[in-house]
Amino acid sequence: MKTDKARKNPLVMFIHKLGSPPWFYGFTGKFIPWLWAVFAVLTIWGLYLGLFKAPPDYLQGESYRIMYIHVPAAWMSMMIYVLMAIMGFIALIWRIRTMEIMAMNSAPIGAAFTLIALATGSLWGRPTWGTYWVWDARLTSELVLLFLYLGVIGLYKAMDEPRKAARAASLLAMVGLVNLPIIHFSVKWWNTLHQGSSISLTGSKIDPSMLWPLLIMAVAMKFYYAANLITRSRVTLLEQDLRKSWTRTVAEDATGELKS
Amino acid sequence: MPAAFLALLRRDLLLAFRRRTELLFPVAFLLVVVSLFPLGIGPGPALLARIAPGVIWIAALLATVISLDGLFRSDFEDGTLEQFILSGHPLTLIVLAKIVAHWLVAGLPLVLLSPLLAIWMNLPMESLGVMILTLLLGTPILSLIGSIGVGLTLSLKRGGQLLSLLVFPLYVPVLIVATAAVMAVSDGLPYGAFLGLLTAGLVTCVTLAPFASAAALKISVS
Amino acid sequence: MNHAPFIWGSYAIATIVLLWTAVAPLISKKTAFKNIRTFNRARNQSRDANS
Repeated sequence: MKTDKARKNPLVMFIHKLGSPPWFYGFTGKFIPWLWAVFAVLTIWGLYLGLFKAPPDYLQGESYRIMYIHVPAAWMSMMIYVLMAIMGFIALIWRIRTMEIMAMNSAPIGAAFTLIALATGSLWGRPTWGTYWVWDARLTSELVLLFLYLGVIGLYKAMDEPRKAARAASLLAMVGLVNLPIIHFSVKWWNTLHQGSSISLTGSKIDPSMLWPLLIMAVAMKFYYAANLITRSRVTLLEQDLRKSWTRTVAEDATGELKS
Repeated sequence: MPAAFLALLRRDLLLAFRRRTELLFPVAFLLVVVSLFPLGIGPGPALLARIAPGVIWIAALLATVISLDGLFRSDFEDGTLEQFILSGHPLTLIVLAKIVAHWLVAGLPLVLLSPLLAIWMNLPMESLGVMILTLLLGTPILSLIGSIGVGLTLSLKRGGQLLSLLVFPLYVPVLIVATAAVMAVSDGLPYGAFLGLLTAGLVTCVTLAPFASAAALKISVS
Repeated sequence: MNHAPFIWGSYAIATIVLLWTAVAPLISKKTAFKNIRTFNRARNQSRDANS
């Protein structure tokens, strides 16, 4: 029978199991230390190459090294938004609770990266162009992206019922995703309209000795996101399932008390 | 189906006209906001002329967001919205009818007031035609995108405050393109492409936004 | 202009934000465990009282 076959298919089973909060909690918990370890190794390696081995830039001197945190943060801010919208879409259509939780927990992480991108971009702008804030296409787009994140977080927090709130915020994230390229292009275009020439933060072509640390840091940030997302999602499950028996078991195992 | 659309449009317009004084609120807000700019910045004609397109458009954005709350609110509170959802008529058409009614009552006055605002802000007269055109094309876009935000925040107590945060990022492209069009006229540059973009945006929103709004309403009412 | 404070400042901000983002859920987790224990303790007490 078709359903028997589906039940025995390992991939289907796996996805099905991930929808169960206690199974999700137990399974993903095993990955967290490894994800943090990879993040730490890559970050140390990337920063070593970027801050100590790579030479100073011909045009910008040492300040270009801000790029090693600014650019990965900006990339992450956009990637997380896309993932959040996709997870929200899946959650909305298939009503999978763990998907809702992961989508909603992606928002603060994405907002944090956006904040870092804005702050480091501003600090990079001061020595490079002379002012702390420049309405260049990238920074302005990042600012609008921050507002989009705050909107999703705000909407989710404003509703009492978490599942309904997650569905509403997921719809908002999807609408924002559709608008994101439009916003990006319109801001980029607005910038060329009003400034004449386009300013590139990295100047001319990037040397490999400067590129490698950048890519390593970019990958490192992805592991940060994964580790943090899983940590946050597990905590959300604990909070929401306060009254269920599986959280009691987990709490007992964690603290070794309250066995009765 | 067109019969239901027209009936709903007629109903919403009737309801709006029964409270004629409330129709003036967005108008009054628009006038107040625009007049604040010269008061805050100084009446220098050259400066006002430079910022006129942006100021008028930003005021239009603010006025739209303020007026949007009434779009679904009263129907939500007395249960009519639930009846609409259960009625079997496509919710997207119902939403579209309400948005059209809302635009006629709240958006169109902005368009009609724009010559007065242009005079106040010392907008060059040759830009006025394009200004009116951008408002005519753009304010429906604002209503359409705004309806999605209203649908999402409908069940919240202070939804109106959150609404601004939600829709302003989505309004950014409209603002950029519309003001670029008006500024192009005074710079002597071609503006057709900007108007084309606004038209394309309008067509896209008319076809897609009602679906998103309807989905938002279903979530809020659930 | 000395570029060093800007570079240090950038990395400092990034470190603080990333550290806070990573640590905040751990604090919430402690609170969640505490609440779970409190809830179950209360439930056990009422069960013992009613049995």
